[in-house]
Amino acid sequence: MIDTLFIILSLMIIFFATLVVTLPNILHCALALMASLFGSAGLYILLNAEMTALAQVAVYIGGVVIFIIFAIFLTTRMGEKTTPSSLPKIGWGLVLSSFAFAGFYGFYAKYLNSVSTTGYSTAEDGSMSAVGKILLNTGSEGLIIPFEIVSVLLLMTVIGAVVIARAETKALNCDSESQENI
Amino acid sequence: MLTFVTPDMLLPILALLVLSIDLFIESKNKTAILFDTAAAGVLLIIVLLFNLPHDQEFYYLTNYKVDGLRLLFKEIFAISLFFTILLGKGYARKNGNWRGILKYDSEFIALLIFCAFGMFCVVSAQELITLFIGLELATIPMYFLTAYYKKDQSSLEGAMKYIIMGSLTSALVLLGYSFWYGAVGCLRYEAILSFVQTNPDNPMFLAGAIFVFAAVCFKLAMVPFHMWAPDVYQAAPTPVTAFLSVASKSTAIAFVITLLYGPLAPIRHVFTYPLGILACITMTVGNLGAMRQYELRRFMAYSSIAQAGYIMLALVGNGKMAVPSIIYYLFIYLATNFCLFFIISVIGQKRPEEFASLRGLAKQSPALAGILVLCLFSLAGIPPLAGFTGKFMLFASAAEGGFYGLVIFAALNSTVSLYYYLLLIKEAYINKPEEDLESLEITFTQSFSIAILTLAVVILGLIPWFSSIITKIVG
Amino acid sequence: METFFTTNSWVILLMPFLVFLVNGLFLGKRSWRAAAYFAVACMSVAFFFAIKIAIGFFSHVHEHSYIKGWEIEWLRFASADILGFDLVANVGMLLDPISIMMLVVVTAISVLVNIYSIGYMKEDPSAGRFFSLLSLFSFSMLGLVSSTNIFQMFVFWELVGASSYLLIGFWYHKPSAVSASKKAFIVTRFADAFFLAGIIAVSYFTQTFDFIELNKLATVETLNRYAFLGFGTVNVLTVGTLLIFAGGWGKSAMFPLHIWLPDAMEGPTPVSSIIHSATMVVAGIYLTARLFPLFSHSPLTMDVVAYVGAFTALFAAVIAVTQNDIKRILAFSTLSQLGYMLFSLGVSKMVVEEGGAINSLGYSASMFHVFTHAAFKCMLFLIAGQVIHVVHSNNIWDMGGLRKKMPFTYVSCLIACLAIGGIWPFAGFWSKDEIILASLQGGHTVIFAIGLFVGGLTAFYMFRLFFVTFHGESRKELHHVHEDPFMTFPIVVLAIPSAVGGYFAKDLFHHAFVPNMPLHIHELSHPHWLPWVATSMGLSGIILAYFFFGRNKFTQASSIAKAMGPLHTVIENKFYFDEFYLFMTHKVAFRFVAAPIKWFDRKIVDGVMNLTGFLLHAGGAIVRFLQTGQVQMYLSVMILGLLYFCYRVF
Repeated sequence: MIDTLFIILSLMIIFFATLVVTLPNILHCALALMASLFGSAGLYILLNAEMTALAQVAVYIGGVVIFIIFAIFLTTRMGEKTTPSSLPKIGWGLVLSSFAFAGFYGFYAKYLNSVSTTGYSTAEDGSMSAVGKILLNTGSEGLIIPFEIVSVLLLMTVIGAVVIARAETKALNCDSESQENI
Repeated sequence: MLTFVTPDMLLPILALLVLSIDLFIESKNKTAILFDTAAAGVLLIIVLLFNLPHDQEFYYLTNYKVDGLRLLFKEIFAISLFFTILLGKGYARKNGNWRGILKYDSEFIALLIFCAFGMFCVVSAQELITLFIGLELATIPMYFLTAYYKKDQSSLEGAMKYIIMGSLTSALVLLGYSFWYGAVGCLRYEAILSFVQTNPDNPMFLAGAIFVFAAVCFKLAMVPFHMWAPDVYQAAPTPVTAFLSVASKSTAIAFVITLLYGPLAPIRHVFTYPLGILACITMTVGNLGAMRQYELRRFMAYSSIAQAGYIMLALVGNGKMAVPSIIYYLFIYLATNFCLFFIISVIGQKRPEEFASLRGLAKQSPALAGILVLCLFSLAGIPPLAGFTGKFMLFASAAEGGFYGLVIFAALNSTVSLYYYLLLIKEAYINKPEEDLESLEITFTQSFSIAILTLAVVILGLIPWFSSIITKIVG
Repeated sequence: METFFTTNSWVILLMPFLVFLVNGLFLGKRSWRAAAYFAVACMSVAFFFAIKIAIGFFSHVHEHSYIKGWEIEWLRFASADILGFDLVANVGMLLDPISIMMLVVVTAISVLVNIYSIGYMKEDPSAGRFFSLLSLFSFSMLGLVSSTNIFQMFVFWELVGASSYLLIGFWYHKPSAVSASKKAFIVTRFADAFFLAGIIAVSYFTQTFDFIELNKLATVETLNRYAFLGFGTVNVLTVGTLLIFAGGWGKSAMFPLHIWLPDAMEGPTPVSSIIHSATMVVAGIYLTARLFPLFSHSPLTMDVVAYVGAFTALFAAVIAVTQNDIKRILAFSTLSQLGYMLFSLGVSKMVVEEGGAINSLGYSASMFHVFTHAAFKCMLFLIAGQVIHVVHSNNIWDMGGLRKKMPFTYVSCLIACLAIGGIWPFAGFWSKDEIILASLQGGHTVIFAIGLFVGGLTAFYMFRLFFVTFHGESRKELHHVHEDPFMTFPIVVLAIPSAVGGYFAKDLFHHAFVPNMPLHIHELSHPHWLPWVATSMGLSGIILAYFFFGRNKFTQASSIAKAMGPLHTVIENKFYFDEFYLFMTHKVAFRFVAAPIKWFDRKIVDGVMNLTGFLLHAGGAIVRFLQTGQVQMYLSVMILGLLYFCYRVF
């Protein structure tokens, strides 16, 4: 049962991921991305990682993809097509990805197929309360330090994003001549 | 005991301080105030770092380690941050650079400081999450900073390439970590170490390690993961290029060393040899690429690719000298590279930062031209400059494991590098400028920094205690 | 014996460095004349110290084989208590026969060349810089010869390379000078890459850099084993010594790394003089002599030393015959003489039939030749500079007839040519004779034959230069020819050791200059016919040169023909014979022996270097070509890298 579900979800992820990079209309790509992300959220549920699944839906689908769609609306005209990849590029892509696939599959067949998967992970469950307890724990198993550093990371990202996205105002633009002769 | 992490904590505070000064203080020369405050703050942090005891181990909240090795790395990061800020000061003033004025000073400084904070986290991390977040914190500001000339199309293009390839790298690191987590079941270094001791050839773990090392090679710009470097170095503002070439590279090296001499120590031999081979290819490609460049930042990119090759070669010997020699070299590399970038910043004020702009330097400013020669000779490893002693230690460390073939190869490579460093000297001394040159202006900050760095380039290789202290701390 | 002068031997190093700093920073820009006098004064102090040390040392030579003037710990790369092994570089001054000899020679020649440069550089606007750099060069060379350990030596070794780069390219407005200096720097550094690897290999196995330690028998035993050195399992002693010797190979410009040396003539002539007589190019010989006890335990290394030296001696002498540029003739002559010094060291190891032991004669003869050669080669270059200064051309065919106009120079040049030609009793005779004797005693017959033959060849090409330059009619209008006193003085001073130095110094070299190791003690045969043969080889070279170039035959012939009408036909017939003879020797021998070798040197040996450069540039072009700017491409290459890791790890 779980295996069947896993295969269905994986195929769904791969199918939509392929669509993301092949569809001519960029808005369709964004929608396909959304579907692909839904698939991985399903995988997390299969793995009992409900917290991660929730985050996946809320952050990626609810947040990131919506942002992407906004960005598309703001920057492109409707009906505009992306430039299709040239044939040699597709060929090279196929060669490289088949290499990568062969590598992964060879690795799997040689080593992991025979290895039992029990006994590796020691974490009991991925429930929200367990995650929360680990994040704020100051003990040896706790992740309080990265939790705090993430806040710095977020602050930094906001500052950086604002700087890059900010329009050049007149006041700041006092010496635009020197910029122009680049 | 909290003093051990005070410098780390002060860094984000300093960043916030700079941002709030920008918000609340109105002044005509706000730029200078901002840069000076930041430089003073970083100087304070450097002093704090040097005053901490280097022979003790301290764990903050059990998962954040401070010891001699880590302090040395933090000193490297902090010193490069200090000089980057001083270098940036020249670019933020009017007529400071041919490409235009750097705007958003406080954000510029804050991003740099956050970046350094991320680097601090990378070396001190004792579990993989902190390691990852530290690495991201050390990388993401560089994306922004690369794109700082917002009107320059090539700058944006470089930043875009950097983001795309950097994201792939982050994905690789995460993939590697998840393999590790799958194998070990825990993220802490101690658990990983005991797992590796009992299962040294666990395929899942090794597969994860491959991904992690691929990502590190990207950060280090090792061939074939190097291709972003020339484009990004050229696109970024020069202070950022300097920071990338010194601090970012040191972070990647710190990452490798803390892993290889920490949790991965039992399987170190699996990776050192492949890394050594890559190091040789890297220095060759870097040296070949540096020939016939005409853009100084791009040239420095190839030059530092080659330098990364020399540094990584030391690991191949797997010997006890590897870590001391690498740290020793990083200090020297820092001094030399920053000195060169300061010279570039001086000539870049009214001309593009190109080879041709060096013409006539020997006439205009003999002192600057002489310092240029010193720095280039140091990079090429001519004794008795610091670059030579550093390289000697690196090579000796590679030879410790018996890899003399690689040592000869590397030494020949440094001969090739001499060729293109001489090309720069030729531009400065021999080639005549095409038109009359405007006179060079050197600000106090620039001459001060150049003086200190030149002193370091000359003296670090000559003073006897420097190498022995490093050996004592990390040996 | 420790004396005031040995303990304060640092003064010898300090003086030139002081000159470098003072002249470079202050005096040079203000007054080049002050800079020059300052340099001469300081170098004289250094020379005085060197002489005092030499007198003190050689008068008590049997008490000790070396003194360490002073030594301090410099860089501690690794210490036993932390890393488990020691690797410490000291800095100091080792005073033993060969280093003291070199100190005396280098300081003496520095003084003389500085004096000479006062005359030579007086019209050059950047003479101040010249005197500063010249002192840097002397400093590097003095540091090199007095190093106590191989690490310190390498540091000064590279410093010599860097300062020669600055000196050869001194006239940097001349493109040829720039490329010559670059070539010299890069070619010698190419060899130094192997030298560095050799230092690292040897010091890793022995845990020391110190020359005294390295030359001990225990070190040889430590090194004489098989180990994996990265490119295969090899004998560490053989490979280590060969790698170290490679450094000397490049610095002493042995074939095929000699390509930098003739081009290095682009520098000012005083620079050529100091580089070629006693400094840079002798460094390789000096290195081999310094580590002689270690080298001598590796038969392969000794054979390489001997045959590379002998081949270069022959090769360069043949090329020297074909050159027309006075400085290039001297440059190839230097190469040839360096070959002598080197093979002399190599033949100290007797071939197996002769016992395979070490014959100290080869070692002392080599050092003796370093000494005598320094005197007459320095002098020859100074003479060349003097002549060039007057004629404003390097081509010997533009000169001629200078005998009357420059009497001092003429006589000095005659002495120098007799000395280098190995004519009794001039200096070169004694040292060259010993070298040839050593190769005979060692049983190296081929090298012995080469040595004898090159002796004749040397006399031939030197007297070719001599006759063409000074005899005959002047081929160019010359105005106000005079001999500058500053330039003439050093030449005349150097004529003294060139003439009689060999005779007076031979016993000293014989007794004091022996390698510090067990030696062959049997009395070896000393054939009395050898000096006669050697001298007659030299004399026949001179006679041949006179026959071709010395007689002013065309002018003489026409005047004689006018005077004696009836004998005209006879004379003309003689001329046919003459032309025939000229055709056979000059045209055939030159065109089919010497010229092809010259062609080989220019095209093949230089061609290989140019090819290397071309390949490197092609590699650079490939790297730049792959840098397309396409992110797709970058990412694909990254995946290849990932696959590489997979391949290595699994």
